[in-house]
Amino acid sequence: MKLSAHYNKASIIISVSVLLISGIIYYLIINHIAREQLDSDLGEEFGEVVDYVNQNGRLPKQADFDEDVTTFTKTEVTNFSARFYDTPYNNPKEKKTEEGRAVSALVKVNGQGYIVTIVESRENTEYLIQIISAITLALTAVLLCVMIITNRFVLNGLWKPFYYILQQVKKFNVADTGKISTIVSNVDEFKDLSDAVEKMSSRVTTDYQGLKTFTENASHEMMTPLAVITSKLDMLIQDEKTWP
Amino acid sequence: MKLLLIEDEQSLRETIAKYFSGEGNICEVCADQETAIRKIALYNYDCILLDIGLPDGDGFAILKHLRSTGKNECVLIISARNSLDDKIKGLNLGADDYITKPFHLAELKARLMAIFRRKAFENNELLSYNGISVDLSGRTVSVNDKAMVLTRKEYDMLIFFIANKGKVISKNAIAEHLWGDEMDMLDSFDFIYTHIKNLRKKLMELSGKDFFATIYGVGYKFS
Repeated sequence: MKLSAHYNKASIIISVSVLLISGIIYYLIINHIAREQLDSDLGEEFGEVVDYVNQNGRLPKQADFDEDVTTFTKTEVTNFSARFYDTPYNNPKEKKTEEGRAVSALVKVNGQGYIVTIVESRENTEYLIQIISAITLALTAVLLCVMIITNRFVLNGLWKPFYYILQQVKKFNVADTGKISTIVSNVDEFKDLSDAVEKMSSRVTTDYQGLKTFTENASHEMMTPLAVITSKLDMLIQDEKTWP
Repeated sequence: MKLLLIEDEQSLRETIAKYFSGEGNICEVCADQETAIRKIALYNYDCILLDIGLPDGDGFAILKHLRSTGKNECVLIISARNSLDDKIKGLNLGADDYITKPFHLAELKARLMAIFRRKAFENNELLSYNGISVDLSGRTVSVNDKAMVLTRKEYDMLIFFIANKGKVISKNAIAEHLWGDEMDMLDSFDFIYTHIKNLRKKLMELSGKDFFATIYGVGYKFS
């Protein structure tokens, strides 16, 4: 596996996971903010109901709350603390059930206790979350494409000097006088590598030549006397006086 | 045949010169590059025996000089360097043969005669000696116009002997020439005796003469 492929793999895994984690965090935070917003809206609505009751001494009609569904239930309970909770919301205009958020609290009208329940639609926040998820996904896809293309074309181009040096090192033969040529690159690492390889190869070649010269000289010093001896012997046997 | 021997070792130079002189051959000698180049420029030679290790420079320089001035003398390189690189370098520069030290004089002479024949007669030549004629291109031998059938070794041996006619050749040199370098390690050269016996018999049948003289314990002489 090539270095660029390793790099590619690592960067893709990291960026995809970062995007996924950030998407989840986004979702959670936005959900939380939206819920807070809804709860404060519901709180205001409830305040309005209380104001209305204090002013008019009767319960408000459904028409006073735009799209929010409000129900009043008679109760004998005197101690009821307000609570917020998730509940289905029946949209009266579109006749369908959506996710909703509700608040229940106790209101006293002329001494009679009522539990007021106000349900508000959560569709707007759902819509927002969907858009954010879509954007995150699209961003992930675009980023992946860009990274793959970059790696394929830019990284391969960047590594070209390295492969050139490698090719030369593979072809290097110590007995050849041909030198390894340096490359022109604006990458410092490749320049250093090329310089080092070139220096090493020329040093090795010089050393090899030195050794070769030495062995040649040694061979010459040993072989020449031997040649003298054999030729002298060959001459000697030409002489009839030496024959038995 | 006129020879130039370029060799820096005095005793080797003298021995080779002595071996090659006679039979109408002239052997000139010189010991260094400078004299060699001067001699080559002044005179023409048939063959040059060139030692690569010279005191004042590389023998290859002489070879380069020779080929660059357009002279086409046969060049036989004598060298102590047995490396393939040097052999290839020498042969590429235009040498005709390459022999490494130590060598037998008979071997040197046979090789020299071979390259001389190739140059001088352009490979179309009958080598003849005392009624024996050898067609070198067709590898056929006839004695007094009668064809003689020889095995390959016998043929090679005959060429070797004719090249060194009148010289005593040790069995060792014959073995090395015909079978290669490792053969001189053997303690017995009886197989050479067999080959010589066969060759001698065939030659005697056709010519009636005995060309070989056995020198006991030393070798053979062809005359």
